[in-house]
Amino acid sequence: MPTIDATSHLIFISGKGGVGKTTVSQALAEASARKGYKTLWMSIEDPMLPRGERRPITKNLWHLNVDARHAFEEYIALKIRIPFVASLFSKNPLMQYMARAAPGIHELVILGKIWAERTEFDRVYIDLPSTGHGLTMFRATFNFSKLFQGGPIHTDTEAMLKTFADSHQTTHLIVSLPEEMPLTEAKELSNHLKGFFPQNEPEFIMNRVFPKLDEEKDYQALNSYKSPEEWEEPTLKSQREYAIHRSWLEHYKIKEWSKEFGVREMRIIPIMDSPVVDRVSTYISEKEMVS
Amino acid sequence: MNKIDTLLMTNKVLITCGTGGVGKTTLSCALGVRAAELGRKTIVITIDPAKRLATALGLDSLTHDATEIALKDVPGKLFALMPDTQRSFEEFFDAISPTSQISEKIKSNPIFQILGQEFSGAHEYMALQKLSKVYNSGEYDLIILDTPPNRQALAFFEAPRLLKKFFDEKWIRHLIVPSSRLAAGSIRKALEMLEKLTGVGFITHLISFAASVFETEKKFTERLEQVIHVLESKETGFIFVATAKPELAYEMNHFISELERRGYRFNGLIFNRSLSKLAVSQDLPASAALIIQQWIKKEELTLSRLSSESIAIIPECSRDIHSIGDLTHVARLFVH
Repeated sequence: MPTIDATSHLIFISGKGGVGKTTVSQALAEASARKGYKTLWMSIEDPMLPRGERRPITKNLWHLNVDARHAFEEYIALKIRIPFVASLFSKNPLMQYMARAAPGIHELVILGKIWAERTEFDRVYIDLPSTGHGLTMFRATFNFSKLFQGGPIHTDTEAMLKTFADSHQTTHLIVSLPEEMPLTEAKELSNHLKGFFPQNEPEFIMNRVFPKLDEEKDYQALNSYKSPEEWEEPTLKSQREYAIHRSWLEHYKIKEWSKEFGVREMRIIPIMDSPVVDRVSTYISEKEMVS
Repeated sequence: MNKIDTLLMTNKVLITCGTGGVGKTTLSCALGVRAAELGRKTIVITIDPAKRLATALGLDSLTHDATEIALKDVPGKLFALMPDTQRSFEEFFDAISPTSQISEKIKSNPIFQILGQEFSGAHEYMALQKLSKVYNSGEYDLIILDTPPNRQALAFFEAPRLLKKFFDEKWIRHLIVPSSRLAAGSIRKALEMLEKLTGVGFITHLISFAASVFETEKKFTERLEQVIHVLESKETGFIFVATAKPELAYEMNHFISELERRGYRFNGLIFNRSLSKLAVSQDLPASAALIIQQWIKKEELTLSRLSSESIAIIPECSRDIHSIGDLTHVARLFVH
């Protein structure tokens, strides 16, 4: 299967909520670490994971759950080089409020943190928040850079965006399930990303794909329909009926998607049982999706 | 009468919550169809429906105002609307500004331009505003509000509190209404430092924006109280829509206690996309059997922990729901 991250240091993983971005990003990071790359797996204010400091996971692999407030303080400290003044500044309730209220500052410092981490690792895999919020990260940064010109933040923002736009340094990977809603969102997301970074087209991966049951008679019977929309009723009667329809529908969606995007071989991760991350990561290694 | 029908007959407002990808919008619309079948004049307020479902509902473009959905042989009526956040934001400030100059000043500020898109809570708060407007119109027997998807279902309720907090910040007051020259002076000095980082313009815009918004405080607070009044009403209830996952019981309990803390009513859990509700098959294809059995095991475990909260279990469908006819089929699943 085609590799994901040929030359990139930064791999942004985005997609609709519930498609498995966290699992996929963690599994990719594990596969990369196994290859011997010094790898960082990054989450953004994930409420289910510990926040703040970078922590080692296994050999070559670290995790960091970025926290906006923490990143803000760090950024200020970097810009105002006298620590005492910096802490006066960033610990000031007024400043903290400004950072919360002003649209874009949070997103900006989080992206800034990601950007800074890339210098210390061979590969950084970023589990972005789901579509809307994920896009906001980039959009807010663009807006900020356009609206407020002249200061050092502007200069940093421009440099950051240049890295994200460069296909040799950054990969934008969209995770989807072969289902209508996630695919529609994946398409919208892809268009937005292309708008932001026209020279760096996003890559796709289909997650939790149901096995193909094309040897079953009732599966073959469905081949007489052009699309699932032609099925008369959406309701199901039995587990078997579910399995057959589900399989047909997903592989139909993948075929349609590949045709539309001109993808010769779609990257697929089959549906797995637990421990999911380990299995997915092993699969990614076996299929050589990480180069 | 089953639990769902009882709710649809007695509630005036039904708010569906849940994380993304659980079929919340589809179920909200199907609940609307069911309510119309029961003779209720119903409206569904939704933020982000799938394209084809939106088309089916006549919500092709952003229909900021209510559109009737034609249902055959049904005693009630069904309407749908999809608020446009940016437009709602403009209308909102038009309505609460004491003069049109202030409203114009707010709307032309560059910070306002990005606020509608970027401010976390803007979508949520505008949906609540729409709810309260529709509620006060008294035109409907039942309003179903499909909340925007969020990683944490409760983020929805934080929006009003976050916005209210703006007016409680003492330093903003000092800045805009300088009670003591010294305080205002030192705040300005701090802001000048920040401007060294952000570049010229940002702070000036921010102060001007904050000052204009402050002029709307009285009406803003009134509006907020109206929203809270609707949420606290005895005829308003919250439904949680979910699918099987190990942390669901934890999420649910957290959700319920947060609702209670705010004095809101929890109406129950709708469990969607269930496989255990389908008839058991002995002849599952070998490569799919394990996956399905494991899923069912996971589902049964989740359900056993939530049996007292669950008010409906909806079986999985074969394909996406994208027509009124499909919604009628799903509505039927509530009754069984």
